[in-house]
Amino acid sequence: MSRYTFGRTELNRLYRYCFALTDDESAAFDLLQDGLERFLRAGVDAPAHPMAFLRSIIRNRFIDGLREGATRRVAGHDSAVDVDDLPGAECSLDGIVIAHQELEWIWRELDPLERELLTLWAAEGMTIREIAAALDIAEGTIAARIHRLRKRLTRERDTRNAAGNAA
Amino acid sequence: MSDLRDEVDALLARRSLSDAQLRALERLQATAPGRAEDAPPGAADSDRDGTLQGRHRSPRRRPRPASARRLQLPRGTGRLAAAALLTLLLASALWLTLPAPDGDPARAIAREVADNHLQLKPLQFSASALDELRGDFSRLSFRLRDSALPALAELSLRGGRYCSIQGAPAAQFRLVDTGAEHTYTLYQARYEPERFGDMPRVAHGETPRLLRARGLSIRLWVEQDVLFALVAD
Repeated sequence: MSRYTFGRTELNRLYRYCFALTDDESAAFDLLQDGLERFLRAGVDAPAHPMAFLRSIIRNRFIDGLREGATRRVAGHDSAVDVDDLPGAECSLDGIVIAHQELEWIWRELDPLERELLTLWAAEGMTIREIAAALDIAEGTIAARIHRLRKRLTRERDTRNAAGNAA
Repeated sequence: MSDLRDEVDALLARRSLSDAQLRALERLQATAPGRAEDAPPGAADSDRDGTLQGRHRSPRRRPRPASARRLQLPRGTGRLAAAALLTLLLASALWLTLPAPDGDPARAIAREVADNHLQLKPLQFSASALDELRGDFSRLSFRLRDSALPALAELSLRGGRYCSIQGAPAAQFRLVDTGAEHTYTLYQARYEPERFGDMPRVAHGETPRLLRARGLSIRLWVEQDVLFALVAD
């Protein structure tokens, strides 16, 4: 069985995923290269879902790197929100309107896992269920994170708009 | 101001690997040795939750001793396993015919055509114009249509192959832009509203619906009685 080879489109998709985690183009390339080397060393000839498999390696390498560098907290308390009590729209990022400059500013303020969530949702077109499966996290947890992210995005946007108007 | 999804997509699309970086990664894949003996048993071997809140690393799986692997199965287990497998296959087939879990047929179509685009299966017919292909696609129950979408006029046809969209027979065409820098796949299938859901009709002045899947842009629309799907890198 021949080994799977990632094409240029796939490599760019993975690079953007790495960029979402690191928020640094150089670090994103290093992370992608490291992940790819591990993928090749893993000796899996043709995994059923090579993109998902490599993304999982990259994610774990990134988290390991954070763990080695510092015990930085990159996600909130998932149990703080009971998603069953939330209306559907609160667990979705659809319908949020934002300006290009606002997103550039907010992007840098987000946690890596918040940027990851945005990337999987926007660039990969994944649903909550698919993100949960890809990250091996409960759907409820993803929904709670989306709920917090939605609140944070709208708050940051409104704060920035208010500051702009005051100036 | 625009939709958050579009803005995130645009922000990420501005980040691409350079040619040198792409070549380095391609070289890495080309020169990698075969199965390495020192490969970790679980390459994805970290805490997957990502909260980093006092979690422990998952213990790596160790190979079980040979004696434990050699299970003594009771007689008839093979037939039971075969029956279970058959049930599973039937359930999977049934599941595949059900509507997409998120209830939006357009998203299911987008994912399906994006997957097809990434596979880039070999063309069955080579041609540089749609007219040359009409005879080749005689098994389809609809007539292949020329699209009025201006963006398609910029692309050159390379050929096509049979495929399906959500179980409906369809034609898949491969196109390239000037300089053949980007590859596109265009799909045509007989438009069935109950199968594909409501789709924009360009003849009514509506613009194609733009979706993202697998990192690709997908446009969906209807012209005359045909559903079109265009996938771009």
